[in-house]
Amino acid sequence: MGLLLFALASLLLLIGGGGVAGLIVPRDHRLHALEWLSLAILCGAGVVSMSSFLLGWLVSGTALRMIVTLICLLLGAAGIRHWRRAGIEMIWPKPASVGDCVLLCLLMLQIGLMVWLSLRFPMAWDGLLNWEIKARLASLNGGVIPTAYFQSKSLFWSHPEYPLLVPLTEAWVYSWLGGYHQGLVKLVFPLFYFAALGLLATGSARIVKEQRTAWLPPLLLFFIPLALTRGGSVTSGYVDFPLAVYYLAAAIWLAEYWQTASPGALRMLGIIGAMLPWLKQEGTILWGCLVILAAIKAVRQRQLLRLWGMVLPGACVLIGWMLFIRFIRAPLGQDYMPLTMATLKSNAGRIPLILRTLLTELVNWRNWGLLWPALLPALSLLGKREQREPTAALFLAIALPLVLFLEIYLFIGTSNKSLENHLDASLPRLMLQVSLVAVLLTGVALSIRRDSAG
Amino acid sequence: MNPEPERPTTDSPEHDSRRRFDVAFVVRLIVLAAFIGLGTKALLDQHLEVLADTGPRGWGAATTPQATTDAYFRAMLRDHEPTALEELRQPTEPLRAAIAALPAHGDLIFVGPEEDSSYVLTYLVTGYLAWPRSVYEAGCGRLPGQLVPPPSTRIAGIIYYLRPPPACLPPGRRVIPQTILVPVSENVSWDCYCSR
Repeated sequence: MGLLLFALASLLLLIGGGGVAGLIVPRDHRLHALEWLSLAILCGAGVVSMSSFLLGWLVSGTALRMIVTLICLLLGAAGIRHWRRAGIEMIWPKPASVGDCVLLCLLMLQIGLMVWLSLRFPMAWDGLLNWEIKARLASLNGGVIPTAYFQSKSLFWSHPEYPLLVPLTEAWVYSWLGGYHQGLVKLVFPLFYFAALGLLATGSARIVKEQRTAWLPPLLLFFIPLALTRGGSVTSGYVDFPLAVYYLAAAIWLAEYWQTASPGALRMLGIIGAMLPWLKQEGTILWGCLVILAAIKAVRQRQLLRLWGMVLPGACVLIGWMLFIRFIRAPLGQDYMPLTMATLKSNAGRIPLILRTLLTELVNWRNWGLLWPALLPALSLLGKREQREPTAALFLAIALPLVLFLEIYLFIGTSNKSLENHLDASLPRLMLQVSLVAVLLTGVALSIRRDSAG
Repeated sequence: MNPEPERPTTDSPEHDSRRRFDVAFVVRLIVLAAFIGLGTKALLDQHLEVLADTGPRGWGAATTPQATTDAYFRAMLRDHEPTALEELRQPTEPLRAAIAALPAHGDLIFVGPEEDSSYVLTYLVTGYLAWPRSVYEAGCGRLPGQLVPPPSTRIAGIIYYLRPPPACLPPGRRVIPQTILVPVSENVSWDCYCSR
């Protein structure tokens, strides 16, 4: 029964998200069914969490669940209607050869294995104590996180100031299950894994401008151990992997924008990117990087006004959440030193250690397999092709956040934990957030066929 | 009869292009094989097959409402009282129920040895389970406790983890192995919690 209710909650999420995807996708875009399904998962989690958060101030319990259900159904209907009117063409995945069929079977096996692993792994510390706890408290309070929690001094360690996309998606599942369920809620994360596979398959096909689905790039994801197990992974219950999937989706539209300068791609980038600050604090940095990279192209194309349209949704989410946190007086973490030049200068001596740790992590095959070392040859394989613009956009979408993430360590406080401990605990997770874009680039480079190479 | 198509000579541009292409193709194959091989080795080294056993001594989490907290407590029992693993399949529920049964409107104090590796996690999980009660900690180790209740706080119970309650308190009740809950009706001096 629990599984059926989980399936129902997921279906409603997909309907709502699928509707939003149908509404926002550019009219001239040929939408791949897998891409639509992936966007449906991402937008669905956004719709469910945002509407639960906003409506939670007015209603709770069954009324809240029914209103969110109604919103999902209405969005689904609106999306289908818009889709039909706009005449958006859907591409269905068709394996073109025996090789494609084998890869597709392997992908199915991969998804099954991820579901099994998710069920069998207990959530890691942060998955339970920073994220699921919020869903549990909402579940005990009619689907709404109690105001007292945001001000609680005894639960300060669970970071009440963290954003709520994943916890309120988990709470949505709990509302259908009739109570919290640490076992079944872990099935939320394979949905994000599925979305990642879909985006890798269709994103790579778009970069090389092929109609055929590229099945190899998604297959590679399975060989990144940190994406599968340990802190930050799909099975850990952390938000890092879902954040990585949203970032991948946004980065694909960034690449499309760099390639085509299409206003529709910029709009999609703005809407998907807006969900990043709603996932995790680092999401704000990732969103900022996307804005910078979109601005580079927009300035060249003299599309500054459109750029504001891209910035606006993310800025609204970010400022809205910051205002809420201040208004409710949530205890803020004291992890950082003042962001001043004086701090920067006094901590400059940390740079060698930070760089050394980064280099060690880049070749840590137990976490990454061959991902990072393979990226450079992959770039050289792509460098001579007509895909220079999207390749450059995707490469910068990896490099820029990494540089900014490293800069954070110059400001991090070391009173409770040494810099080495901070780096060991968080650097792999920060790298995971951009790693799916690296998988995409590597996958594209490795899967270019004879007939399209040259 | 059609003439046979002209084959590229070894020094023709077409031949150069094909040779470059073949090198790129071989590089791709090698990188792909290494990518899959190294990733597979890293995954196999994790021995994920141990997750298949969701029994009392297994490492796999069951699909139950408190799967994760049960797994945490089972890990604690493995270290401190392995014989209890068989008798207590779902350790979370007795602790949650015992906390819920305390008089309403009272908070908890969690007392244990901070130097033990399982102390922090067990304290955090107790805080997770106790909501809406607050849980304050009195780590009785080398470091002082992090979270001390304000003086006006009403305390409903004290949890002793990995140590017995001191003589200044009633003996309490063992709710799960290594964990004793002492209900209290009036606040006790803070010095008492860690005394022997």
